[in-house]
Amino acid sequence: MTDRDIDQQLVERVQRGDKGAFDLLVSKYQRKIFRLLSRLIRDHAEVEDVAQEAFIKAYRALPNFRGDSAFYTWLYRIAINTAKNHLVSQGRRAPTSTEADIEEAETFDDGDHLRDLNTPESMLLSKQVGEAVNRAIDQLPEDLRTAIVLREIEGLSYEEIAESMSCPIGTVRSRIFRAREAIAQELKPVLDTAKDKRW
Amino acid sequence: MAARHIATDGKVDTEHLSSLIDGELDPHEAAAVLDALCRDAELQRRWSDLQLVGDALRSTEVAACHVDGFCDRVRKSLADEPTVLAPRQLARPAWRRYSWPGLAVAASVAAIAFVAVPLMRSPAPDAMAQKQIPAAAPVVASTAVLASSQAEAKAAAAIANARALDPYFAAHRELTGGSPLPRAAAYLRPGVGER
Repeated sequence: MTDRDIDQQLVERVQRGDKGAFDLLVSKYQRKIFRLLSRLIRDHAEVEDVAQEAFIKAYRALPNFRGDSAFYTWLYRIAINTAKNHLVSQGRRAPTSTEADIEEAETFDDGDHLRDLNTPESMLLSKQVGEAVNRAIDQLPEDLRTAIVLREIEGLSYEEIAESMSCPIGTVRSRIFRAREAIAQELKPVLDTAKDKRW
Repeated sequence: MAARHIATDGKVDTEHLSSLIDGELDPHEAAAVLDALCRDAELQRRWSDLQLVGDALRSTEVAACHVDGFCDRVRKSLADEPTVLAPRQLARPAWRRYSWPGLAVAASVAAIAFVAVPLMRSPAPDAMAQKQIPAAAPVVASTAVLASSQAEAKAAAAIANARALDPYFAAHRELTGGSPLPRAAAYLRPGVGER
């Protein structure tokens, strides 16, 4: 089951009246939406408000979502439109086109022309997150580090990793999970302490 | 393996979530994990953590946008929202889903056959005569003989008809003088083409 299938499953649960499934979509995509909106809106308090509004609009519109596009692509457009409306309502100029960003809906790639929207605070926090991830990976036992790198960086399947590491798939699954737990432990303090230093 | 764990002890743990995120569960396993995930607040928290780790590994800039408590904020806002319900598609048996297109195709074929078959069965009289002779020939030898004699009779009649036209052709030749140009060419005014 692919990532898109999982999203579709969650969407169908929401469409059947399960609000809890929508929480899972929010927690999965909130950071990507924040990142997207922070390119359009500088003030981080406003970004949070607009992100919340976008998610609520998405929830209301979800009965009409048929899965023709990926959920995130659909959510992305709602977020962009919400941001534009917000800027217009504030008497600010909304971007006339976000065509350059459309492909980014499916990726994390940044356009160079948008990099100047990074603030010193956001760059510092991003650097701290990177350091925490690297520190966590460096501290991992060799087998866990290899498994997580092959999965997250090289994009190999469990089966391919099992072949590469000459171990059962169950072992691969366990190693990847343990590596993620370790990285989460290292990451959380950085993001918790940096709560008030966003963007 | 994850499926066996879920099926035997009915318990979903974070390792299953990790496999779900990686797309390494089959649909049945994934459905079981999603069921548990939608019910269990602790699993939901772990899901958030794993998603955060995934974002951090792919893009530190995205992970740096994490805001604690944002999900709670959205959840509270949605608590006042009416629950959305998509209109469900009518549950139809599979045979009905596939039978309508089949019926449409069958109806089209029947309509075409209704119009085309009678046309194909009533060809022009000459063609019918031509068709009947070779079609009958291999069946019975005597029929073939009869058919060939009929054909000879037809040919003789045609020749007789042609002879009846001989006086007409003779008169035509006399009028034109057998020249490649008809006599009427003498009355053509010279220079007409030069105007």
